[in-house]
Amino acid sequence: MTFEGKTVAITGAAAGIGQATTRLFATRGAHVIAIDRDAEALSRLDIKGITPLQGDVTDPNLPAALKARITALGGPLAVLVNNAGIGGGGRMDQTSDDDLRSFFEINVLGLFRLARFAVTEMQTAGGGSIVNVASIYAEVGAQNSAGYSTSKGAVAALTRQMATDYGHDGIRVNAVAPGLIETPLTEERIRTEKWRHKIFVEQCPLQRVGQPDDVARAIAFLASDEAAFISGEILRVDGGWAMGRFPREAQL
Amino acid sequence: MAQANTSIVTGAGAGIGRAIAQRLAQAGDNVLVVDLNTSRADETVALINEAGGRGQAAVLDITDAAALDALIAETRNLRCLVNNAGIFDVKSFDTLTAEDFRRMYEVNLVALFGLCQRAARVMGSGGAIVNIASRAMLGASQYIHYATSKAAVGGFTRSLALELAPKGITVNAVAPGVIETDMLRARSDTNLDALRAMQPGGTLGTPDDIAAAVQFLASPEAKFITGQILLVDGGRSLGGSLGI
Repeated sequence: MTFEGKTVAITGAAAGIGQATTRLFATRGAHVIAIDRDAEALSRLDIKGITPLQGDVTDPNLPAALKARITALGGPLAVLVNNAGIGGGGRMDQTSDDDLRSFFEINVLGLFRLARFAVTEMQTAGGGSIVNVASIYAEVGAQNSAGYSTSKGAVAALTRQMATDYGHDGIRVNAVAPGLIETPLTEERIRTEKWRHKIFVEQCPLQRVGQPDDVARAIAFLASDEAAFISGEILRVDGGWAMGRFPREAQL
Repeated sequence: MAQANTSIVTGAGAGIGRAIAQRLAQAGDNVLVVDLNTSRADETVALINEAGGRGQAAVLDITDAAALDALIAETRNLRCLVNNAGIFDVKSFDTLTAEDFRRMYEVNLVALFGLCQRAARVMGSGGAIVNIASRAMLGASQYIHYATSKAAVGGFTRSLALELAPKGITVNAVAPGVIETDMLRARSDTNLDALRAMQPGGTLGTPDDIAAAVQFLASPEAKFITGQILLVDGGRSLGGSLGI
């Protein structure tokens, strides 16, 4: 599975899943344009051959900035990985209009705008592949996740919409739906919150949380020619978590 | 040098099964090519060996329990089982018999169960089972016995994934859409151009498209993925643009 010489843009590239994905694509020969709003974290990324692009997905000028980098690299854009997003808990009664707006502003509109730019680029180039990062929460529901899950549900719907509309242009669009992944954001909570450990480790069929690399490998597969006949799919990378809690009640 | 991993691929004498066997052999596995037909199995083995891989024919009927016992008894270092063998048949609901249903389930489900059970007993942590379901599991006209047997493979896959997770064995399925195999081309009731027109990308799948997905799910790359049914159908199952 090689991306030799291909131009790949990844958002939220400086940490967690995005960082692991950036590293994996770079290892497999891609020219990665690593997009993140955190300039300092971007500058600390020690990955050979990447092109850092400081930018926020909520900025309407980000597509133009990305276009300039693609042109400088000689293009075309072969792959876009929409990974940037925010998390956060809360039931509906704990979620304000502004909270919901911010989930949608970043997780949906930010992705929408960049994907819209990418499909026009890819139409001109005769094809391409887009992978969105959705969430297992949106697939099956999760307590205390009204705003986040709703925004990720929109990402899943958008994935299928784009796959339907642009298949004829040779553009494939898929998503991964990660379970709980150990990142700088979640690491401490997994370690210190007993209930979280119980639900996401003890009750996960594979008995662990995911690592950023687990998701990165699935993203790379879907983005690659190995998945040439896969489009509109949401691939769960959750250790079987959403399928059924483990151990079953009889064993508890 | 460490002993090579062994993969078993059923129905590997042609089409999708052959492509899967070739891919797994190319990745370095010792592949047991299971098929009912000796010359077809031998052909696949010859293709594997010509490409520098290791293949071995195992000619047997997967509905024969004693043959499955013997197959597993002879197998060393089993890491991967791909249940691809199955039967297909077109028959309208009104003309279907209970015997048609039984025969379909005997091959597509009961035989698959039998091989999974035997394989799981000898597989260690890191093992992977990949079943070939079908997009027909979503509902299909004129072959309800086939469609429901493949839907059962989906339920079987998810349930077995839960049972085998503590052993560190993943169980997933690939559900192919319309794949251009010799078998499809030979069917008199199909119009390939009409089928292509129903695909968002305008093309049908190849056996290697399915093999690539199987290889990914069977590999350590997918070790945190279990209980999943991956549709490989070029987006055929999406709505909207698919009007016939």
